[in-house]
Amino acid sequence: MDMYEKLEILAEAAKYDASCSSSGSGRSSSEGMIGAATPSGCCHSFTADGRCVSLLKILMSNACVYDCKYCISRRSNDFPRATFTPREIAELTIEFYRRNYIEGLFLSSAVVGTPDWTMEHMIEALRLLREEYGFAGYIHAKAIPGADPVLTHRLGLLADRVSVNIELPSEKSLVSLAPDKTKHNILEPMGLIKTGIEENCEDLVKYRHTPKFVPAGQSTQMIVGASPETDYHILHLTESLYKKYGLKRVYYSAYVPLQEDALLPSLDTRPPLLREHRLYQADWLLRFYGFEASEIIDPKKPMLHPEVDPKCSWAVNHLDDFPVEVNTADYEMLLRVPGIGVTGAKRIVRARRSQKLDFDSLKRLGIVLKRAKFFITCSGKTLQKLPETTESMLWAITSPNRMGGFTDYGMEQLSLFEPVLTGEVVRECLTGEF
Amino acid sequence: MPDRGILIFAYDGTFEGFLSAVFDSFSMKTIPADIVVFDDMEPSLLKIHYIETDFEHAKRVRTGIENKLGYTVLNMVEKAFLFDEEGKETAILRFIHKAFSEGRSIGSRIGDETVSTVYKMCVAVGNEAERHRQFARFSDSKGALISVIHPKHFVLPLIKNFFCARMKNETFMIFDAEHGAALIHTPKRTAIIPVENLEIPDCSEDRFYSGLWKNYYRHIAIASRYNPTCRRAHMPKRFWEYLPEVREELEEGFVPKLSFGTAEEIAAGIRNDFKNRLLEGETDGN
Repeated sequence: MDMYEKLEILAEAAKYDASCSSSGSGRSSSEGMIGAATPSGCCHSFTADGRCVSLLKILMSNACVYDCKYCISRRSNDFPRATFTPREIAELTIEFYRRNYIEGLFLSSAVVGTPDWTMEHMIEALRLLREEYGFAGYIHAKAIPGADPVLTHRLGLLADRVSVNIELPSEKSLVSLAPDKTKHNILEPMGLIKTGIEENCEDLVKYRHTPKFVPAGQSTQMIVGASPETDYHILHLTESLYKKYGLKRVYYSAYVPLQEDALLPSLDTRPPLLREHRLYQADWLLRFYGFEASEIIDPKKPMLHPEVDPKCSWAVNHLDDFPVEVNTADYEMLLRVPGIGVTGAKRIVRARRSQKLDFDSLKRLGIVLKRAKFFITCSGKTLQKLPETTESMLWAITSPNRMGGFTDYGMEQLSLFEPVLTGEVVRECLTGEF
Repeated sequence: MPDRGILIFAYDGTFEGFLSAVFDSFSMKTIPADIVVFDDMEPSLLKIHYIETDFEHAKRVRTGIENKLGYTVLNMVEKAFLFDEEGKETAILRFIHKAFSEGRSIGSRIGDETVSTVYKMCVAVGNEAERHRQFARFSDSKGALISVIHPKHFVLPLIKNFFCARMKNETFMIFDAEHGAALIHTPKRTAIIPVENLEIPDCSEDRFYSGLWKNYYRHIAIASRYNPTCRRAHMPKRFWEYLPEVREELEEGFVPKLSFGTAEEIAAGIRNDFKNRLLEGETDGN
């Protein structure tokens, strides 16, 4: 099997991992080394589906002993198998890196033989890359659930980020769809990494030459739409992962049906992309906007609003807190205004230190007023009359975008893309329900 | 007594030349109607003041800005000067005049028109630099790495540290074909030098890894999520010429070949994309 074929198979098998960030770590190279890691990360390409490519994302092997029902590499699937040698992985990474194709390596693997064997070989590949090839760039490695804690620790010393996929949002789904994995199996390495990072932070203060342990933190991923959990469940799980395990990121991956199974959505199901998108928006609110999961979603309406983003949805239900005066409101409140993000809020805070802001100067700051105008005042003035009820506000915000997707109006024009989308298909895509 | 006639400045196009122009503008107590580079000058009836690049003057202006207005303002001036469009000099000069009359806080007054013009120039230059950190690609020619870029603005000074830090022990060159300059790095030295005509070394032998990369790229797209609009938003078409993985998609009549994507799946993807665009509302100006 030549390199082309191997890379094809092992890239194909790794592509459903959503994580591709290269941020959160800083390292420079010294004599005889290659590569550096910058805290902000860098995306070097974008796939035809619009996802960023920042790392060379491959499996070490796809010859799996497990039989997870949703997975393309499952044991019972008749599928070509391949395995990279550690040296092949190192060479490929270095040569791609030199040409500025990638920011580093994302190494995952199917479980070959035992978790320990798999982990040992992954560690060997990373050791070769770091020590022999002197690679100082970014490495993201997957910890294999069920491997010896010592191995997880060694992996953490070589990689910038380590992740353990939680796969499915509840234990029940895990039992039915991934029978070889258990909740304990997944959470154990996560806990190990968490304690490892905490101890390392202390050691770094005490001793000068302590090697860094998982400097870019850990992340996880769960599949959305393969099992019946609601957004309410998922967001609360996410929040507790951030709080209890100190995760840097939780990734969601809209379920792409690859396998026929009675327990899974049928093969012609479309991935619930909009649902995934809304979950990411909510995730951002948790991490950067100071929201709590309980503010974003309540158990009575356990799915996120398809038509407006979660922040907007929160705002229209809390009209008492608005309008916000941009010249005096604190940063935390500015962040809660729909249409104003972290960059915008920071610019406002910076600019108002030395001048009074009006709507023209907001435009000059690059603040998009399309939605924000309904929620802010500048020196007591509004840009237009503000809607007073939740319903009228919702209508005002969404009316410029009203289109066929939600009513049957305008569907005829879509005939260019046969077969015509029916209202049902659209709703399915919106809600992610099957 | 300042001269009241319409006056324009002409300088040599260098940063020191521009700082000398700033010096003259202050000593003559006037803001010229325009500042042009000698080489691009058209015959004109206006009064022209020729700036002689004076390193002493330039240094005084520089330290003046740094000491009186702070590093942020100096940084803005330096960065905005890399902006490559007509009229940048006058915009920056107005900004400097305003800064000296209003003091340090000017850097944060981005709601002000004069300041926001320069601020936006800085943002544009910064974005262009980031795009080149992302999308500049190298080819290997006998161990040396070569990259040719066509940036809108003069970004070499801004991307220098990024590439030199990661490829400290390599020999590489980034040739800016738009501005006739090259960043050349060897393990011992780094320099940005003006380059007139450059014979780009032959990199045709470096097919193996770019071929592998192209093949890899083709296999990581998920057919049922196909979304060309999203890709174009993140990776504008003007960069595709740099990128081995999508270069061939620029050719006319190209049909996307996604791994295990049948025509039907792709069509479903396109419909999805169309639907998403409707849902997202204003993407792509519709």
